[in-house]
Amino acid sequence: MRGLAQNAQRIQDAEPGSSLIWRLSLAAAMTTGLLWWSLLSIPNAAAAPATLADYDCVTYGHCYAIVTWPGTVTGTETTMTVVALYCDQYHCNTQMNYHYHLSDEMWLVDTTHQAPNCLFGVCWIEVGQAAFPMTPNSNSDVYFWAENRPGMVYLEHPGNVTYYDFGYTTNLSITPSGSGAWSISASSHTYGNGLVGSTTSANNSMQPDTIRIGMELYDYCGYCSDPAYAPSSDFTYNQWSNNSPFFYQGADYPNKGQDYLQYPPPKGYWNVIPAPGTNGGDLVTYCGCD
Amino acid sequence: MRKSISGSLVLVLTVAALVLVLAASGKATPGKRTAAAALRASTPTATLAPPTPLPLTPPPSRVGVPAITPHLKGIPSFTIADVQHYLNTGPGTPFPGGMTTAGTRPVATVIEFITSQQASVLMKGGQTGLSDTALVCYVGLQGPFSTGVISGGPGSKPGIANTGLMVFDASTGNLLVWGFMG
Repeated sequence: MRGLAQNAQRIQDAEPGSSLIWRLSLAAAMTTGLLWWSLLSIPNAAAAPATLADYDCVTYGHCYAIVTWPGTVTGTETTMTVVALYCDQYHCNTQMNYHYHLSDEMWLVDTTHQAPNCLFGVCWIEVGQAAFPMTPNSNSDVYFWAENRPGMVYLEHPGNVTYYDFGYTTNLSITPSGSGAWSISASSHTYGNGLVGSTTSANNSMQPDTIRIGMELYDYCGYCSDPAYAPSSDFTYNQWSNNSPFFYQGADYPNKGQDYLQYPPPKGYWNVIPAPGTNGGDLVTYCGCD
Repeated sequence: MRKSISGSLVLVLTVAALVLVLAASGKATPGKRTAAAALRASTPTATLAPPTPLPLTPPPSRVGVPAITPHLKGIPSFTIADVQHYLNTGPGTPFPGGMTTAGTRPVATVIEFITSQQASVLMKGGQTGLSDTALVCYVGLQGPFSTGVISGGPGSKPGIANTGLMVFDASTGNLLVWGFMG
């Protein structure tokens, strides 16, 4: 600080004829500064997008990159890559009055039979991983499962953190376990079980007619520099069951379901379309939510 | 003399530019010193994330997520006043379902220590994850709530739930389950 002041004093003491030197010096400094700026900015290029993100996945409903397979089923399974989901620090924070989230998951849905007896007019069980503010001032990536079942009851059950499983896969499954009950599981490379405690949806009379897999985003980002983000997650070994053993999607004929993949910010694509010999195909989801 | 002055000028202005650059870089990424952000920064495009180096020993598997800090010996390890303090601390609400439709912090209509089985009855068969005889703290919250935080899939519209609920482990203070009831 003292040196800067001394140098400033030297500038003031310089002869009037030194304006050319001043200009040349300024130009040199700016050039040097720009060089340093470009060098130092490289590491942050990915974290600070050139253009501010602008999306609304709140006002008109959540945003999705999912695939839907309609048809009477009783169970579903998939193998999903566990990745670092990033939900912006401000909105995904209970203490900020926002409760937004980003998730990769699988659903077993009843859109018809018991649907009128469920919140939203749709019943479902879901399981997967989410970046969600489960505790004040946190933005944890956790395994979770939830049930929206007849009787107008929605319950969400948080599981273990996913941090130590990033890059590994988790096997997700929802299978019937007796009359009106379903067993839910999410394997964990670190813990064995990603879910803990309750893993049964009891007193649940839903009659599933749809399977869904993919990404969901509930977030608002109005020209923000801190949007949600998720690297690619692969959904492989996609399977279905109807009171029988599990079968791969597309085992009999190519069947990529009903795509809902081109409605960003969440995005997705079929890396391998489910077809005979593909073991259920490979759906990729990701979120460069800008 | 002139040479000395110009040399000093370049040095001073370069240092000043560096200070500005460093300050601007810090502002560009506030609060992003998380593992997720680190991975995000190193993964600018949609590629499969490699296994992240593990800097810490994984925490033990546990039922629920940390919520109320236990401070009493025995079970329950916290009081009803602790729950009220937990619910009313901070500008928002710790209820994951959010504020009421009026934008107010939800008010607890019931806070009671009951068995896991009794809580299950209140949740119309929902399970806490603990044994039937384990003690839990059941909290009922007065709505109405917009259930926009959950969704029935593409095209679905948010509904209204009359009440919210949170169930805590009376031993650890962990949040075991939360939800809405229509």
